[in-house]
Amino acid sequence: MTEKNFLELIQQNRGILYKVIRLYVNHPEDEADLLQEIQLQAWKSFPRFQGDSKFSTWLYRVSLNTVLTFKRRPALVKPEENLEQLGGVHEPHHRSDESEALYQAIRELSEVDRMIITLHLDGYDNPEIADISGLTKNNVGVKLHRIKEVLTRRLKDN
Amino acid sequence: MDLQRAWKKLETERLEQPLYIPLSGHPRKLHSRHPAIKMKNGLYISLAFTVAFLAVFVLLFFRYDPWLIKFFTGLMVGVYIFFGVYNFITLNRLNEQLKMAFAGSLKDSLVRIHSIIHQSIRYQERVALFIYPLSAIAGFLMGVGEHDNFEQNIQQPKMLMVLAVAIVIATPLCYWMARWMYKITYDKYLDQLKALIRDMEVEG
Repeated sequence: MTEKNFLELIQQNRGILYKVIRLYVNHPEDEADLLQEIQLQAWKSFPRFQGDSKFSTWLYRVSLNTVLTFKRRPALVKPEENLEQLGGVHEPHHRSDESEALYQAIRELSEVDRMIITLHLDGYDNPEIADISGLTKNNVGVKLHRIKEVLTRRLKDN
Repeated sequence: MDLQRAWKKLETERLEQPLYIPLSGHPRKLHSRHPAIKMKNGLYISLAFTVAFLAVFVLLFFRYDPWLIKFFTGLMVGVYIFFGVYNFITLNRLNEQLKMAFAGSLKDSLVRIHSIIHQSIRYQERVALFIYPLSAIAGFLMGVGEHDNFEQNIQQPKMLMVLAVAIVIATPLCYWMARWMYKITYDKYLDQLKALIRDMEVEG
C-alpha cells in the first residue's frame, strides 16, 4: 500500500487518534507531539500490517502503545478542572452533563483500566481486549467487572 | 445511567472532535520525540563519534614516539574498537526490538521500550566508565609529549600526581556524572513504565 492509501485510512480513522489523546494526555503541548508521534509510528509499522485485523483495531493498538510509552508531561491541572481555562486546549462546547460526568470518571481511572473500559465501550470483546493489551482473557473479564462497578458508582454519586 | 449511551454521547460531543492541530499529510517527514527513538538516535551519534575518534587515535599512535603515549593511544584504539562493535551490536538489537515495539500488545510494548531505554543507559554508563577517563589520560600524555624531554617530564612527581588524579578522580566522576544525567532524565519515566507493567501483571 502507498502513502496515499495510508493517509486515507488515517483520515477515515482519525477519531481514534483524537480519542486516545483526549483520554490520556494531560498537557496541551503533548497533544501536538503525540498526534505526530502516533502518525509516525503507524507509518513506520504500516509495512508489517498484515490485514489480519481491521485497520481501526491496528491503529487503536499503535495509538495506545505510543501514548502509554511516551514521556508525557505531568498535568497542569487536575483532570476534573477545566483545561480550556489554560487557553491551549480547543475543546468543543455544549457537552451534556451525562458525557461530562463519564469523561471525568474515566479520566480518574488508572491508565490500564482506562484502556480496558475504552476498548470495551467501543465494542471490542474480551478476547480482542486481551490481544490488544497483553492481559489474559480472565484478567480482562475480572478488571472490566470491577471498572464498571466503579464507574457506575461514580456516576450515581455525580 | 446507561454507560453505552453516555459513551456514544461522549464520543460525539468530545472525544472524536478534531484537535486544534491538523493531521500531517507527510508522515515520512515527521520527526520522532519518543524517548526510545531518541535513545537509538543518540547511539547512532555515539557510533559516529566512536569511528571519528578511532581514526584520530590511530593517527596519534603513529605521530608520537614515547612508549607511554604509544601504550595509551594504542589502548584507546582497542577501547574504541571494542565500544564501536558493542555500540553496533546494541543498535542492531534495539532496531529489532523497535520494529515490533508499537504494533504488538501494550504489555509487550511497555516491556520492550523499558528494555531499550535500560540497555541504552547501561551502554552509555559503560562508555563513561572506560572511554572518558582513558581519553583524558591519553590527552594529558599527548599534551606532555608536545614538549621536549617527555621521558624526564613524565617522571616528575608533579606530573605523576596529575596523572594519578586524572585516573582516580576522572573515572568515578565521569561515571557518576553519566549516571546522574540519566537519572534525572529517565528515572521517573522508567518508573512510570515499570508501574504500568506491574499494573498489568496484577490479576483483577
